[in-house]
Amino acid sequence: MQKLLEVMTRPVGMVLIFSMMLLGVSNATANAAMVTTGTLLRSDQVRSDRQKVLNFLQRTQVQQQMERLGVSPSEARARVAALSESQIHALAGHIKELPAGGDILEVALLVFIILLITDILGFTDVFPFVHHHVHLRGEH
Amino acid sequence: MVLNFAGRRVTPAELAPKVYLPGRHGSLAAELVAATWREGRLPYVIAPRLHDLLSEVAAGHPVLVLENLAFAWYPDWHYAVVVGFNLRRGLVMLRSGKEARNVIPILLFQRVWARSHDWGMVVLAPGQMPATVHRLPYLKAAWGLERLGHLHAAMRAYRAATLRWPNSLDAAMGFGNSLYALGRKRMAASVFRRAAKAHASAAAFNNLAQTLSDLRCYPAAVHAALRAVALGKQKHPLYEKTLREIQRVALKARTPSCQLSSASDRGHHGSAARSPARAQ
Repeated sequence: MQKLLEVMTRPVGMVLIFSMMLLGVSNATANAAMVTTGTLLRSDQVRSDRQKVLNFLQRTQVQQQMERLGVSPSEARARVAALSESQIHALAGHIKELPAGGDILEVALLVFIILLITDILGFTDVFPFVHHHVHLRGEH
Repeated sequence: MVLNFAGRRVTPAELAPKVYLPGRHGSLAAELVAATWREGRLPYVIAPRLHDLLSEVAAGHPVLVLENLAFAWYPDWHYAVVVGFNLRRGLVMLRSGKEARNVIPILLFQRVWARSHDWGMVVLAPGQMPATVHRLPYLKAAWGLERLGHLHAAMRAYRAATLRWPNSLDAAMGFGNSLYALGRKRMAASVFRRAAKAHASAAAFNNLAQTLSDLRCYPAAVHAALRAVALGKQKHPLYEKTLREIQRVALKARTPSCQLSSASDRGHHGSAARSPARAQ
């Protein structure tokens, strides 16, 4: 990154020196304010991870499992949309490890993980053993 | 071996200190990728499927794989290179540390490979495409080259990506950014302009604006920066910063002489028709 910055700013510096010599005008170039490729790829990765989790929620097995736990699929989708980038990335990583058909036990486990995460964040209220801070504060 | 294939002479002994890590295979895999970037070659981690591995080998790309020769709880990591296979006889041919030619049954190989979660990568000269390529992982591999300062290698990898995925904004932006970093700003401007118009992309307009400003084409630069701000909808403070900077610089410049004159523009389009990167 340091080297990239150096290489990117070097030509700017050369133009600066040149313009000072010829025109006597200093500070004639803007600081490079480029959107890097890395930034774009990161947001692309987040989009693709989110889509992967949403696709997972579309599976019939998963929807059955959710309904058994009393969560409507549309509600689950809304909750996934609210998850942070790192949470989405972690979830998408789990999905990658599942076989395409989906072992029923592993599907159940992943549904459990997703609901547990959204539960901890206070979006859903499926598992009674997760205590919500918001709830506790409300009692005091 | 794989680096040698990609046109770089590196012996295993030279590479070993760069990748040797006594710890877990996850870090070993990451180190192999990083070592490849440092050598200015493109590391592409294949999808963890035997089908993808064999497709790469069939395309003439040897695949570097990680194998655990012992147990999951007491691992003994080795890397080997798959160089050939014979499906009818159910055999794969490997090169490893000492053995130049080691032929084993595919079923045995699959068991040993599975313990590394089927991890494998190909090492390519920048500009070459993996046979089993996917857009996002490929562009990330190219970005690794750019990040480590291998700008020319990165530019060639991105240029190949614009040919493969002509409608990809990320590929065009990578190509434009690496051209910009190499100082080829007129060509960068034309790449950014096309991407900005095709995708109505704020990021592309922002980078176009900065490039035009560097070329002292201030009216066009301000116009592009305004488009970036309008499309960005306050999402990105960088766009407004670019606009302010360009306006400041444009006011100070006494003799703005745009280096993107119509003549040079025309000349550029003329060469563009011949350039393979712009054939789309």
